[in-house]
Amino acid sequence: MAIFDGEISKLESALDRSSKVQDVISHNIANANTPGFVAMKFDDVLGKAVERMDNPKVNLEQELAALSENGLAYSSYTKMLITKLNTLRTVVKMGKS
Amino acid sequence: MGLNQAFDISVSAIEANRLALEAINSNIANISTTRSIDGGPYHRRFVVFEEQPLRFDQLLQSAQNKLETNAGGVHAKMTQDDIAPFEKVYNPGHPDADPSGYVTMPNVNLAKEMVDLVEKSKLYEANITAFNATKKMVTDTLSIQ
Repeated sequence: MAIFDGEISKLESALDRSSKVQDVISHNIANANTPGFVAMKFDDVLGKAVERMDNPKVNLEQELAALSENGLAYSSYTKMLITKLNTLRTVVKMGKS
Repeated sequence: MGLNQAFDISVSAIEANRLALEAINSNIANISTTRSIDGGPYHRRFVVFEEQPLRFDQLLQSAQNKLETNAGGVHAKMTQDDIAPFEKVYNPGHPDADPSGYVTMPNVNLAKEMVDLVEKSKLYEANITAFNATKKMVTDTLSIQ
């Protein structure tokens, strides 16, 4: 039975991606006033930050919105992980009694 | 963990903006200073922001102590304005007046400083918001059990 299916590792990589996105957003906000700085975005294929060519100037409102969105996504991943672990815990306890 | 890097990035920007605010405070305080440490009128100070490159591969290298940590963010350097012209004010009674009665005043423009002050304090706040968002993420991580 697939109790330990790939779900936990999928959530783990989602959390990892989210924390890298957080780095990129923090970096953009940090450099909002740096001359010549080109705003960055996280590239899922390359797994790293790349320069954003469509909108090179940092848009502070956009970045702050992305910041909240990323925070909420991170929260939901942790909640899903907690739920998954609780399910497993229940299964383990049922086997005990 | 990746989130520590996000903290460092936000902290570097908070520091940089604080330095910029210090420069503005110094400019406003010295708006009429005709005797600076170097002699002559006070030169307007400002901060130059410099991007610290953000690279994910450096995380591994810094963990191996091969490279100093250079993980994104911004670096600020205080510098002074030597190009903007000084304003000459006619005030013959002033001890620093030249033979024709003009006093050379600092190259500080109060309106510009006030605009900069608002801009930098808003950026300071934006970076604190980013820091708090990262803090919330770490708290969420700690709730996994």
